[in-house]
Amino acid sequence: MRISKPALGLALAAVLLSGCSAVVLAPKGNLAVGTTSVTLSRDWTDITKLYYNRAKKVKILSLDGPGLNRLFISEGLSSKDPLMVHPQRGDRKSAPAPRGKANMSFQEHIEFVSTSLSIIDLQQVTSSAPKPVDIGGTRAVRFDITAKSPEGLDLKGVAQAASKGGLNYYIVYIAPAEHYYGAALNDAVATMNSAKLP
Amino acid sequence: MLISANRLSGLVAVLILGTALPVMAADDIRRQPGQQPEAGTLEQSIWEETRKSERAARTSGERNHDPELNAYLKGILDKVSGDYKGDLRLYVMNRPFFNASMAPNGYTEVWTGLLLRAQTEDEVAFVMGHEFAHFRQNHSIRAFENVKANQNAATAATIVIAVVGAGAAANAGSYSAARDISNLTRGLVDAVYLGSIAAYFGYSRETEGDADLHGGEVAHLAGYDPYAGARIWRFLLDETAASDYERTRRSPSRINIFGSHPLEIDRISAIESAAKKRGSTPLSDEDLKQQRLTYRQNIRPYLAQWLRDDLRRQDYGQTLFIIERLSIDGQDQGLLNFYAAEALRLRGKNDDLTKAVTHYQTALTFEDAPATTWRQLGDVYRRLERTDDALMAFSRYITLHPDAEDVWMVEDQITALKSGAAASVPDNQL
Repeated sequence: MRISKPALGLALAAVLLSGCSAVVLAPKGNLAVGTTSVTLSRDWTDITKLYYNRAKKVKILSLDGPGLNRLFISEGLSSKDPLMVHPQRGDRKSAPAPRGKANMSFQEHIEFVSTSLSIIDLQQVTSSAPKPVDIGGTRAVRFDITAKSPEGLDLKGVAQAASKGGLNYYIVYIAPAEHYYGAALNDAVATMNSAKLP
Repeated sequence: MLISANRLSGLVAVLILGTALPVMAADDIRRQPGQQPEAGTLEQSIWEETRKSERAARTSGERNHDPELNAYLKGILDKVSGDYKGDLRLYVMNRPFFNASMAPNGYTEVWTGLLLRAQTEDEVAFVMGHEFAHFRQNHSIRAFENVKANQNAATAATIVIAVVGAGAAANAGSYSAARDISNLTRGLVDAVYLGSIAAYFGYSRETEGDADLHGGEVAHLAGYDPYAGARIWRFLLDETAASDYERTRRSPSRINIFGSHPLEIDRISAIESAAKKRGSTPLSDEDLKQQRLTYRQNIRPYLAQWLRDDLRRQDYGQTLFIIERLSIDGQDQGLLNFYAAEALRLRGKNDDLTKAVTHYQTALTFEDAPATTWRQLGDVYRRLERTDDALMAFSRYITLHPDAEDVWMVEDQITALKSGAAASVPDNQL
């Protein structure tokens, strides 16, 4: 079989462009994540599928790229579901990604988020200033995070955790402390405020 | 040219053995203090590459900047490396794994997981001596040359096999004979490749044993116990056996031709034999205890952080083993019982939660129990559905730490428990 050069070029372009489908627009407005949903106050980019190894029940959004800001939004996680998975090492039997469990206290939620962030190579993860928040009648906790990137960049973040019907729901925002954290903080917090649990 | 498959195998076996032999033996070719690589040499290229790694280490988020810890460890390194100390730069990395390394340009890393597992300063000095031996004997540069030489030999052997195999196949009397010779040729090329890899690992095993002996010697000359290396390898064997993961537990027995480190038990014997030859006798139990207490003084400020980091490895069996060894002299019992309880709480299998309660309660009888012990105990009681005990523990926490930022969370727990709203949903129902 002979293939003409233009046809070969088109086929090659199609193959290359198909890779772009990994990154899609998450437009301003309602975003469903499993049976939960949030309202985005601006356009974000859904970069979830950039990662071959990832938590299946978690969406990852970004504005400027994964190194500059990430917003993790989970659907209801059971004790079988990780929140974060190392993109290279994955989730292996001998080195499993952290899991939560049923009936977690707020302290355990905070611990789980911190451990999950460590598993994606963030260093010196600390949490502070836990505050109570209300998500449609469900009591939740929101807290601050500091960490360092593997390269030593200072990072800051905010996370929100809630339990309902035996499942755990998380939204985690993390970005470099300098400029990027503050630049998208209001949009991240607005997303947390808008969360609707099933 | 006519050649049979058997003769082809024989020819190639000779070539494989040739590539599988380490091209360079780990003999004694030491660098000199202050020695710099000459321009345009392989060594200079390797230095350039390791400089890049060193730059990354310098700014790494995992780097530990504690001045006292860095000074303490640099002091040990200086003692072990003697005249070479000006060539070495130390970076302490907050990584909860047993490791240390020294690059050919003198850039040295010590991981906090090693410091947590060592029980005496002698053991830290032995590991540093081991790494220093790699540096002084130029092992990594020679390993690179070894790989390169073996690759060249393997490439030459592969070409010979391919040419001979093609000739044999072309002269085969039938299609099936030609196919068999072709398949054999392919298999032999793979065998040559694997042979060259095995040769590299054989060389690496040899240099590891070499570094143990040289490392033990330099540490001993610096005044450290020559049996320390045997103790730390034995610790690692026992820790491996305590793992929660079968794959990890099996790892010490997985030695094969591709294993880069000699089986630990062989290393232990070699270190002990070398120590005996030097006329040394093992420390008495009392001396060893004194060494442990002195070392603990130096690492005590970091113990809690290192145990927290170790828990993030999620191998709670190993963490509990480490804590058991740290408890041997009855030191730091509030802290160690707290972290033993934390490991059990996080694992949460079988009767782990009940055992965790015992450890939290024991921790609370010591002054160094962390401030959060009552809160954590309350949470485990809650999970065990011991509501009255949970209420008591949470109330005690609030009484002792009324200004803690998490008091509202604990009050929430109390309210939920009193109203019965925290009814359990077992994990297996999710």
